Amino acid sequence: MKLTERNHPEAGRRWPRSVFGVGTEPDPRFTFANERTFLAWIRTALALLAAGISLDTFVTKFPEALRTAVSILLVLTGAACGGLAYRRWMASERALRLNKPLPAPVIAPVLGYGVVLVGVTFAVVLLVRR
Amino acid sequence: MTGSDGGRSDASEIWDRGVQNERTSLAWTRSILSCFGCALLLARLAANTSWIIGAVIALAALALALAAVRVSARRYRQAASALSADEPLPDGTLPAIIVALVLLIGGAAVVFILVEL
Repeated sequence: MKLTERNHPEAGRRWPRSVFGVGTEPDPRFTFANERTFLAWIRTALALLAAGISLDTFVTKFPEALRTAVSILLVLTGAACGGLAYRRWMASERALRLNKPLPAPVIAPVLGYGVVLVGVTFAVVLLVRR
Repeated sequence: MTGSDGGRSDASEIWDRGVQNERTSLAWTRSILSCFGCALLLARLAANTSWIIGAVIALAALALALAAVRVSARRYRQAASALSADEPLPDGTLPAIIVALVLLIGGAAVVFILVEL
């Protein structure tokens, strides 16, 4: 029997099992901090979605095809951030429970390159259409 | 902390020193508000295609946001009683739901951006 289930019989109901089925309960502060970090990534993802949707809805002085492409790039980067945020939350919680090192931030490059790509595109458009 | 400082005689009485549960609950509130704002932007985008779809998305977003606030309040209470009883904290269901909503908004946004063309 796993240690957690011996400590807390009701812990077996916690979902997902791939996270809560291993290891022991960490310090609650770490669990809360992990959840807040996850939520911060979620808000980052939502900000990217909002930027993409707003660009397509409200910005008119922008070449149409390019506007669509940048909008979709922003939205897809946001969706990728959201999905990866959950994976990272799971990996971190597992690591906390198993007393192992935290995972590397794999979302950071997605966000970084996505934002750089959008920024460079905007700069080029602004220069060309001046 | 020693027993000399009046009412709070023991440090264990203020065990949640980082106000962890409340900060996490506020982070949930901010995230739900962001999600609601994003859904309203999606509704505005969809209204370019059909105002009925836009209105439906806006109303669904409002209903979901109100439900989410209630669920996160319940999560706060659950965590508070778990902390004081030394029981497990809430699980990963609500995080999975908000990720699903983010992906749903993203997918719908791509569809509406392409439909508009």
